[in-house]
Amino acid sequence: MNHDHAVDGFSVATRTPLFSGSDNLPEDIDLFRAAIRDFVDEHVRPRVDDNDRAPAEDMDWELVRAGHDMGLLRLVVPTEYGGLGRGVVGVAVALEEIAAACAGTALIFGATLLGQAPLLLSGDPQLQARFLPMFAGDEPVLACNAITEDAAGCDLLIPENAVHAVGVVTARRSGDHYVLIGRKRFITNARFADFGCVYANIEGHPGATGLTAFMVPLDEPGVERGPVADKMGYRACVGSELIFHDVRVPAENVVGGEGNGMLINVQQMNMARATVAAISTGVARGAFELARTFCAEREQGGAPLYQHQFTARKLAEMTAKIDASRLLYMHAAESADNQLPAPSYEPAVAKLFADRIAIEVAQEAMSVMGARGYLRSYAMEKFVRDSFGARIYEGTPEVLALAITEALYTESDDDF
Amino acid sequence: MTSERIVPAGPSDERQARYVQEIIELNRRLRFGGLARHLRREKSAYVADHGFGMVSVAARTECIPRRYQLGLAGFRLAQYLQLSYASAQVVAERSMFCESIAGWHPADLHCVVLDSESGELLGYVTLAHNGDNEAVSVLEEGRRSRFPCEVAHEIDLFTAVSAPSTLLSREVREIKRFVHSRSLGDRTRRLRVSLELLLALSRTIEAEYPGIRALVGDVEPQVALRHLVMTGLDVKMVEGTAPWLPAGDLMHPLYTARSVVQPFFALVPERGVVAERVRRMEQAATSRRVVEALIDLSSMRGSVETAGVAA
Repeated sequence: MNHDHAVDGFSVATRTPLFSGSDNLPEDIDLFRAAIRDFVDEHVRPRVDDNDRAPAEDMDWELVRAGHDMGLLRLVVPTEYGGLGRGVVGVAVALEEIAAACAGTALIFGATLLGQAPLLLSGDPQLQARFLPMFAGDEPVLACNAITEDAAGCDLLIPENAVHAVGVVTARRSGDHYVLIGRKRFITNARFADFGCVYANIEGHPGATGLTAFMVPLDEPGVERGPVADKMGYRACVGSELIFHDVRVPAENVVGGEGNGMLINVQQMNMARATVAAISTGVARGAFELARTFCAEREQGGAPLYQHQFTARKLAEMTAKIDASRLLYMHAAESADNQLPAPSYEPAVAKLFADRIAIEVAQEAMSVMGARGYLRSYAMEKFVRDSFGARIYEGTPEVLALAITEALYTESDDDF
Repeated sequence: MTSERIVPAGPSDERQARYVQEIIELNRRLRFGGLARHLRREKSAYVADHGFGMVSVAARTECIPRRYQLGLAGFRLAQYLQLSYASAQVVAERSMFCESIAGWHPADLHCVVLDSESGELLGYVTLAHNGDNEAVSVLEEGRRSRFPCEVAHEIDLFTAVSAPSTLLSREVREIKRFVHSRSLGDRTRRLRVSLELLLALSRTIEAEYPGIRALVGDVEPQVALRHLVMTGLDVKMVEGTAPWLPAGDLMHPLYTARSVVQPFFALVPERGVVAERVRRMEQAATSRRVVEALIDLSSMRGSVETAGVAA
């Protein structure tokens, strides 16, 4: 069944044929994707424009609630804690579908899954029991992952740079607690999250060499939710500062052991990058779908645009890039689901490629629509703005390149 | 980078206490207002809102989505922990956030009362199946599965009360304890929750008729027994047991925290009688004056007799 709806002058087919890169999905994932498409058609698409134009501080709780009803906030939570127990493949498939309509909405759910990931990686049953069941209730609960800082930036993502990090949030041991002091920046969901995975450096260790992951309930005394970032794209999700004024955190809230934060973060990123690549793929697909529909309906020289050689070439390049991007992220997601720890190479390659083609496809899609592509009312310019977002979070191209080349020059026991 | 595993500096009992408090708080915050909407409806499923700010729901395990099952099991564990009926040590050692639902039978019946506005769980009681699917008389102890109350009291309950030999073990359900939210400070509201639970319980027994012919369990004579008698059941008690559970059992404190707990047995009356009692309880549930309505119900009170003494 096709659900077509009008966007300022031409109809948009919201159900497109499946691309070749995703035809071999397990049946349950295929059914899951169909359910997500219904959710997107019913709840996401009708409010994309409103959420894009809303003030940066606004969160569409009705949409979050609908997503929570679908299970989007508990996708990776194991079934024994009331979750759906989906792996990275399931998450990636869901996020591509949502991002094809609105990348910001996809990131609301994606950021929560990112905040949950350290709990899964911890293997600590008490931590899991204390935090994961809260996503199984009927009220939506958000989580966040607080790593990014104003000064330290990528020094917190590259293990070799840890010693050079400056101004990192510190954790001082105090009996059976730690005391967190400092400020995080650009933290998606921090404004509303119930808890966050917060990375802090143990006092006395240079730079970020004592980086440690803490699960921090964000209603603790001393937690301040700081100013919201007014972003160019991804406007449906809210990113803000998160400030810690002597916040006491019990020692049992440490994830993976004191000083092992970098290790947790790397594993977390390796899981997450495939899903961010899926978001970028979704952005490219969303832009392409608009362009494809437009090129079928718009006639020049007595023929639809897609029959003109130059335009046909552009459409063909776009769809090839999207298919390739999907193949890469699915491969990365499958690797992340089946290797422990998740590999660094495949997710980094997938994200590097997807982030780039999202920008290329969105720009090209806008160009084939001419002046209409430049108008807000035709929805294309939002994809262009959104396309730049994923190039920054979860690893810039520069950070990804280092991860990729490190893997290229590191000997592996695996047969190549 | 170091690779040491974190070892809490504080005494382990402090950490245990923090863990238990967090589990109680976690369960207190969870809301399940969508339970009725997400139920798979079948004949015994029951949903009622009598207009006093609460919704009653009853359904078999198999009709309740897993996350709601976990929510119910978490609610009960949190209340038991606050009553010191559940072992804090076991909860912490096993990293529990809810009772295990692994042993729940698909045909167990769960009666739940929720706040209709917030979705907060207010009360809960279960009728548990013993797992027997074959037609085995309750008097054939060696061939049937024992009910948990029989295990705790080390008794063959059905022989002790001279249960009819035609009664099959799969026709018996064990009533778990009535659990009320500790947040229910208002006595009237608490009474209404009890009434709603009793009504839901009776409704499901009626809906399952003749699938459920008898109820067993163990109760404190001054507390839960009143609930059972209120529904019109004629209850046979057994005296002289010394219930206990091993120290490693989650519910070990249940029999050390309370003074007298006795096993009981009650036959479910004819369908017409059950239906009439349900009708009267529904009348009471719709009454604005719940205390008076409960007093009115006392005319249908059942009886209590001591039917046996444990050897």
